[in-house]
This record gives sequence, structure tokens and C-alpha cells, in this order.
Amino acid sequence: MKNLKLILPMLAFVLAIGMSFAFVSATDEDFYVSGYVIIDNEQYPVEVDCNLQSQQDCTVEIEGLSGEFQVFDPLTDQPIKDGTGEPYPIPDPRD
Amino acid sequence: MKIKSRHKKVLVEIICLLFIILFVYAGLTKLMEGDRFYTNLNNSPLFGIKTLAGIMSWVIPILEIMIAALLAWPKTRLIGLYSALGLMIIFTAYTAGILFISPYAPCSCGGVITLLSWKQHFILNTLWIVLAIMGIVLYPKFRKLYGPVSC
Repeated sequence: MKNLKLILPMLAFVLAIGMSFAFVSATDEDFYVSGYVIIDNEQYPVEVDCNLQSQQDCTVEIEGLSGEFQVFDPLTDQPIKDGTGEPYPIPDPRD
Repeated sequence: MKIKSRHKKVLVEIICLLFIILFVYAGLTKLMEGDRFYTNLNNSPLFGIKTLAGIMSWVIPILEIMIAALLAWPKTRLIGLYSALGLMIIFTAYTAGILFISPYAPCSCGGVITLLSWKQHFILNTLWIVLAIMGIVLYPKFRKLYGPVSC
């Protein structure tokens, strides 16, 4: 019983370490920045992996819609910048 | 009466184990997804200072793992439960700030927990606070009967 009391926390540690390694890649969508896009004059919140250090606009490609959409900062309403200039594919935020 | 005390002991042990799993998982995930966690803090309307976000992106996960270690060691377990309660209150206050004060909601933290909305986060954190309080309330009563408890 005494051994169990020592082993159980160790097992909890091992379980948690295993879980963190197992799920770290499963949820690795790199959606970093909260912003919004404008679709049909309506604002929709999106989360995109944008690098704020760059001077290139952060754009997204929305599933089921044609063209690129500019991502805006919800605080300043200015376009968010990203590092690549490539549009990020994201699901339709209206869903 | 003895059975009741034994049940309390088991309950505290379960609470302790759950907190260890939560903090080690959350802490390691934040360390492994360090860039993401830093960017999340940096984007947060309540946390938008770069230097502070940089410091907190290291302090929070290390603190979580340290509290898990405190909970695992019988002599520091009660301190661990109080620390866990304090940290969960801070997390819940932050989540409440995002929900009720913030002009917009940034991305949530790493791991599987990121799949939860901020409202779900708030409810989950509140449940963890209740668990921590239960652990603290139940702990001293049977410590007198059985001595320090290890989980």
C-alpha cells in the first residue's frame, strides 16, 4: 500500500508526460493570431498563424469561397501582417 | 466513521492525482508549444506587453510543474493544494476577464484544452477550484487521524 502511494503520483506524472507528447502534434494547427475577416460586409472572427514582425499582409483562403481575404486586427481595425505573403487555408468562419 | 474518513482520504488522493496530471500536462504542453503560448499571451488584450508575455510564457509552465511536484510529495502536499487553488483562481480570473471585459477573445492555451471555448474554459476552471477547495477542506481532518497523506 505504501509503495502504491509512491507509485501513483509517479504514474500520474508519466501519464501526463505521455499525454502532452501525444496531443502536442494532434492539435498543432498553429492558429496564433485572433483577427477578423470581412465576408459580405460582415465581420467574422478567425485565428491565423500570422507573424506580426513582417510587413506583408496576412491573408486567408476560406474553404468553399474563392479569393483571398485580408485579416484585420480587432483592436486597431488595421490589416495584420504576416511573414510569407501566402494565404492560409482556414475553415469557413461563418459555420 | 472510520469508513467515512477513509473515503475522504481516497477522495483527496484522487483530487491530488488529477491536479498532478492537469499541471504536468498543461505545463509540458506550454513548454513544447512555447512559441504558440508566447504568441497567445502577446496577443491577449489583458496581457499585451511583450516583455511580460515573454517572462510569463516560461514562469507559468514551470510553476505548474513545480506545483505538481509539491502535490506528489506528501510533506508539501497541503502547500501544493493551496498553490493549485491560487493558480486556478488566477487562471479563472484571467478567463473571466477575457469573457466579460476583453474587447475580443484571443486563441486559448495549448494542447487538447485549446479545443475548448473560453466559456467552457471558465466552467472547467471553476470546477478545478471547487476540487482544490474540497482537497484543502478534507485534508487536515484526516491528517490528524492518519498523518501526512501521499497520493
